[in-house]
Amino acid sequence: MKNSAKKVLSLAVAVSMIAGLSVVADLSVSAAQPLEEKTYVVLDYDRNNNYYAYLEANKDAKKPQGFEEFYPVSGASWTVGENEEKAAKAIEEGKTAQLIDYSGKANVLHIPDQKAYITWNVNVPETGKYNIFVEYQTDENARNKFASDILVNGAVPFNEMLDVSFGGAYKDRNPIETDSRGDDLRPRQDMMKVWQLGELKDSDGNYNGNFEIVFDQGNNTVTLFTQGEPVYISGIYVKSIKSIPSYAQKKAEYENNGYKEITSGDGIKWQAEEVSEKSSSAIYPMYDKASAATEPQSPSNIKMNIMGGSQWSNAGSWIRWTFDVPETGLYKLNIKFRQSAQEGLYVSRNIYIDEEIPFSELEGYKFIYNSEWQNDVLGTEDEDFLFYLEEGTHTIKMEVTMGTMADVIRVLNDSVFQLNDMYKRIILISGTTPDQFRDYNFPKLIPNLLDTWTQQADILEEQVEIIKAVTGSSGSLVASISTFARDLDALVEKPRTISSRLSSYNDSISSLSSYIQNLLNQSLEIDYFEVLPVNAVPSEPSAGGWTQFVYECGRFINSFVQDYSLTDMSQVNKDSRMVTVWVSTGRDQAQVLKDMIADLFTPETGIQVNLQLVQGSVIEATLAGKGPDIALMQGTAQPVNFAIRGALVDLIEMAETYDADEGGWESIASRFSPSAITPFRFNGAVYALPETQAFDVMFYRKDVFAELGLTVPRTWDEFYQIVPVLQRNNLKVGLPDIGAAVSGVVQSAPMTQNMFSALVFQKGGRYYKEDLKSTAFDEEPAKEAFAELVECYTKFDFPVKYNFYNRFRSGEMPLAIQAYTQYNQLSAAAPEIEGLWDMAPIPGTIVTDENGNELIDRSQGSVISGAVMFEKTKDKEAAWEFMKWYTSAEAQARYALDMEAIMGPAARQAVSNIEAFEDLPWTKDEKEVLKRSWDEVRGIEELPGSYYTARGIQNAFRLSAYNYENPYEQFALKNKEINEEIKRKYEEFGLTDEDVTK
Amino acid sequence: MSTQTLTTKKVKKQSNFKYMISEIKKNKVSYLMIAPFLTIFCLFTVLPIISSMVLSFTYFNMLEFPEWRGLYNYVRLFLEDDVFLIAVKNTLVFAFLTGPVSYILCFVFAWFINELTPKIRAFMTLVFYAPSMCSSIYVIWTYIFDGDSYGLMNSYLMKAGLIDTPIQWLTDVNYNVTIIIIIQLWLSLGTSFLSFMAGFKSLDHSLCEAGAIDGIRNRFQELVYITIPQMKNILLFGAVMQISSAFAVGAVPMALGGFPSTDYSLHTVVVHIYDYGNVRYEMGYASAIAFLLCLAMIGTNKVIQKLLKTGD
Repeated sequence: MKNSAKKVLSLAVAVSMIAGLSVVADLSVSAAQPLEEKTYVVLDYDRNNNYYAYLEANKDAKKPQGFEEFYPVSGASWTVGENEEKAAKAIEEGKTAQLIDYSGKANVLHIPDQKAYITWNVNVPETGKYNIFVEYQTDENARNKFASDILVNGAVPFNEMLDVSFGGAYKDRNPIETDSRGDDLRPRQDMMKVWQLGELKDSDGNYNGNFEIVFDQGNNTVTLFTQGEPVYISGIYVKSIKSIPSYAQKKAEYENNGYKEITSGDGIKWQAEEVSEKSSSAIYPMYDKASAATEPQSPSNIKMNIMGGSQWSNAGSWIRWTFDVPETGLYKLNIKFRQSAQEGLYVSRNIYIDEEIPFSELEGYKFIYNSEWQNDVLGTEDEDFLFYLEEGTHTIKMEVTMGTMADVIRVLNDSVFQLNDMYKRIILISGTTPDQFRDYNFPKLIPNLLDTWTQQADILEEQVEIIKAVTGSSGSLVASISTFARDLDALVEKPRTISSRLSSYNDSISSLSSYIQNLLNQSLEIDYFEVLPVNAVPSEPSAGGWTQFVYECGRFINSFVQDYSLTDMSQVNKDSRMVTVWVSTGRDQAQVLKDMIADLFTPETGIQVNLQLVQGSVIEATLAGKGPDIALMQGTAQPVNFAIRGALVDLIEMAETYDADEGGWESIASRFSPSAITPFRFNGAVYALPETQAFDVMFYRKDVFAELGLTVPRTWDEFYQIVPVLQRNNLKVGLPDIGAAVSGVVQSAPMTQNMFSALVFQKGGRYYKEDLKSTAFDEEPAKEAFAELVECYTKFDFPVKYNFYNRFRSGEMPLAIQAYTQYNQLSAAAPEIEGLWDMAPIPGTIVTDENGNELIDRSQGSVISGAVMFEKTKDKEAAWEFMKWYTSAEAQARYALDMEAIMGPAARQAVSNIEAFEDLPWTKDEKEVLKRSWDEVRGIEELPGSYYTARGIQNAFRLSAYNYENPYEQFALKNKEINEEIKRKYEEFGLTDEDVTK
Repeated sequence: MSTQTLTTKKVKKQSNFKYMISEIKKNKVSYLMIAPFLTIFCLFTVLPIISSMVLSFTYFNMLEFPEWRGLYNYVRLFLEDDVFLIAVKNTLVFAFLTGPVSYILCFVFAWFINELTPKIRAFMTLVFYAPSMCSSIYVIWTYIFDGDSYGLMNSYLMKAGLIDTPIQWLTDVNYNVTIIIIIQLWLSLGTSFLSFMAGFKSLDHSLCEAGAIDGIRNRFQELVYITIPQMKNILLFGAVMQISSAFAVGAVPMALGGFPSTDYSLHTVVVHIYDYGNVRYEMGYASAIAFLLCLAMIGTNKVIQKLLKTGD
């Protein structure tokens, strides 16, 4: 449920405002799109309709035994699309769901890129609780987990059945290989084409185990409403809920059956990095260099020697290992692990042997904290657990679960929500800085305020006791929760102090919510497994003092001789073609790029790439003759700036020279939105290929909008209409940062001034005149745009500087226009408002086309980075080959996905390659919003001297917005300065009298 | 020295050059000893100054070969470049406000602290010298003067009810110059302060005793008649350091007030050099500015030296 919103939560009640937009022909404004319907945000989501309540309500329901039935999809009825119109369109495009034979099964339903309802009739012999499983296979085109809402008898039984996600299975493509220097390479990951049995469980880890669904005797229906990821579905199982025996029962069973204990032999040992399957491509072998006892280990080289870590920490993610047992009998199992994530606490795993939890003690088995490696022979303090293993191959699967902490996390999450809700209500009355000398009488204005606080204080105290009891320790974090509970009591006692203690109240909520975040981290590292005879002693988990000392010395000495450069130049064949490439990002990014080159580029083309991680100016290096052939990730303004000094190669010429047969420049340019190329284009040449392109979207809080009865603004008029409503309620509205960029050098207009560009374009204006020798800021649209922008700050008093992430989370700023990459941070790091917010395209301006239809224009600028090739490159063909490959959909998608795998979803790239964007794991709905916005992004030209444009606008803005100078006057004044600089630069390059084209 | 020269001239009518060579040979050990420093100094200080002087007469865009322009850069600097005049004005404001003020403050603080007991003195010395030990410590001021309504200063003033909307301290032209001057003062209490402390410690106390016998009535008289005359060289050193650093103000306004600062309100000559050298890639022009700044520094130092020398 991480990424996608709980759909029913905000049922968008569509009220059709403007009808008759079906004919779209010959638009007067090229980029404009039909105006969509107005959406009222309505929250008809009942937080209390959760699984906990469902379980309580059906406490007495029986668990009938011995029932198991498979319902194939061929016996189900299904319809495609959310509505008839979309379904008709899908059928027309031949992209509709159909029954096919696939992967060894007949009559499975293949659903390509669309939403579908599939309903089965389920007949159970007895009223009671059952488990449901979905048999499915993820389509290879899928980028996300397959997600689905699940309805029973036509209704969603509880909220957690919305957006249940089913993942794929992955494996290493090949065993771990070493490079020429002896360092292990991380194996590539493949999705497996196997049928999976999807369990219905809570992906946030608030509940353990599979959902227990109540069916009435006789006929019932189960409906899957899939969310648009391509998938194959073969059917569903309905099964009785199996009870897992305790170890005592299991032991009795061993004795009854007369299983013998294995007492001789060495047992079996296997390394954890040799994994057979796992739930995510982001769970891959890692390396530990700290301990000499980690196997395998080397003081000089990187050895992939452990498994797990921070990527194996979300509830439901699992790893499966396969091992062979030589002799039938009873064994004990030792796991060498390190749990350094939860200090003073433990992390939990469900342990399955041959796909079944053998006894209940292995449900939520606890691994205790220690910063060092330790052994855990599975068992209790009194006895080791014995496992009956027959001769042959077995599997062991470990799955992340929240264990006994699940309840604590669920209750605390609910507390954060309740307390935040109270905070929101208070600031609706008093704002975030209440007047301390005024008695607002909050308890009277918010009737349930004191009751909620009393209740929550008790709940927090209760949870603290539970945490203490379970973990046996009381860390500083636990103490801070009790302090908060006491503070709440104090607030209840003296409600007059609310105004003076509001900010510390808000801080406490934040720290409580980050405490919960911290609890969710269930990361665990494993070095190896040992299946041992019952009397054997497991091998020592840490190296002796002397061994460790020798190892550390070896590492220290090696640090002097180790070659840290990215490419091993000694291995490069001197005769082969070579391209030098500079990147100026972090080491992780460079490493990913290096692996990609080794995997995909060099083998295919035979061109060696000398990749260098360089922080600093390319220009100085080029001057000294040490510069690269290609530099990546150059800012929007740099390419033209270098090019007018003759430093760069015209890429159109490259394309026409080397790729004439493959469509030349046109085929390269078609990879990107034309707007992404505009800033790199000057005088008929293009000097860079775009890598990233980021633009703005509008983020809004659904709960606040629903409470105040607001609609999501589509136009600026609507936007300005709701601003006073929000402000009357002491809420803030955020615009993208324009004048507040303090550190860093402002070089390019769109960098921090996207809001201005949006207003200019939407008023029909432009940045530069046709001859590209002066700005068009003396024209009316630009002047009006500037004045409007200033008014936002002088008249509406929008905050100039603010921390979007924090204020959006607390609800203080329920509406903001921000770069779309903020989406990732919110979805990855703001769990308490999950499902309470959404993004929409930025407001637009209504325009009328020739036929009198009303359309909406949402043009805006964007921030772009690109790759450039230097003029002094020797082997231009090889360099061009690299640039073409690097900006291709395949390479860009791989780069973005690998980055996300390593650094998590918050690191998702704003790729500029349109095809690669399609491959990123955005959900269908998110993609729609982004594509819609992207289609209307317009490019802003870069000219000699155009760095001055940003300066001019910024200065004029600050003087008018902070000091209330006349915006028109300031804008005209600074415009004059901009034009003087552009003119001067044109003279410098001798272009004054020449015709300059785009 | 002078008598020796005279005698040599009498004895042999050697040419100056040959004489120099022979002198060098005579003192070769001394020359050998200063050689490492001299090499590095020439390579990294003298050479760049000379090359920047040469470049200041050219047009040089970092990518193409320099082109001779004669005095064009200087003409433009004085006659066309309005921003340069702003930069000169700002630099002078910074230099005159932070230079002498911090110089006097350094001296006064050093004098006061010198009177304390050794342990407290050591602690206070650390307090005053700490800002200059860690060169980028000034970024903590961005936290204090954050333009966010939760910024330290803004939230404090808003809580106190003095303002109702956050102030953009570092980008609003009404405030930023004052703030940067305060920060610059705080930062510059470093080197000179330390050298003054050393100066106070090396004072000859017997002179104070003699002064007391001769009728010095209070500590102030002691300071004026005994301490300051003794510390002349230290004072000169401090002044030179202070003036050079005052002219070189640039990094702090750029890091705190942004680049370019609002309407060039914090644009100093050093920032102007950065602007032309690193943003507009007009190295020739940037060199001309740098060369002028270098001349201005040397000139001011000369004046200071004269002033302090005539003062005694």
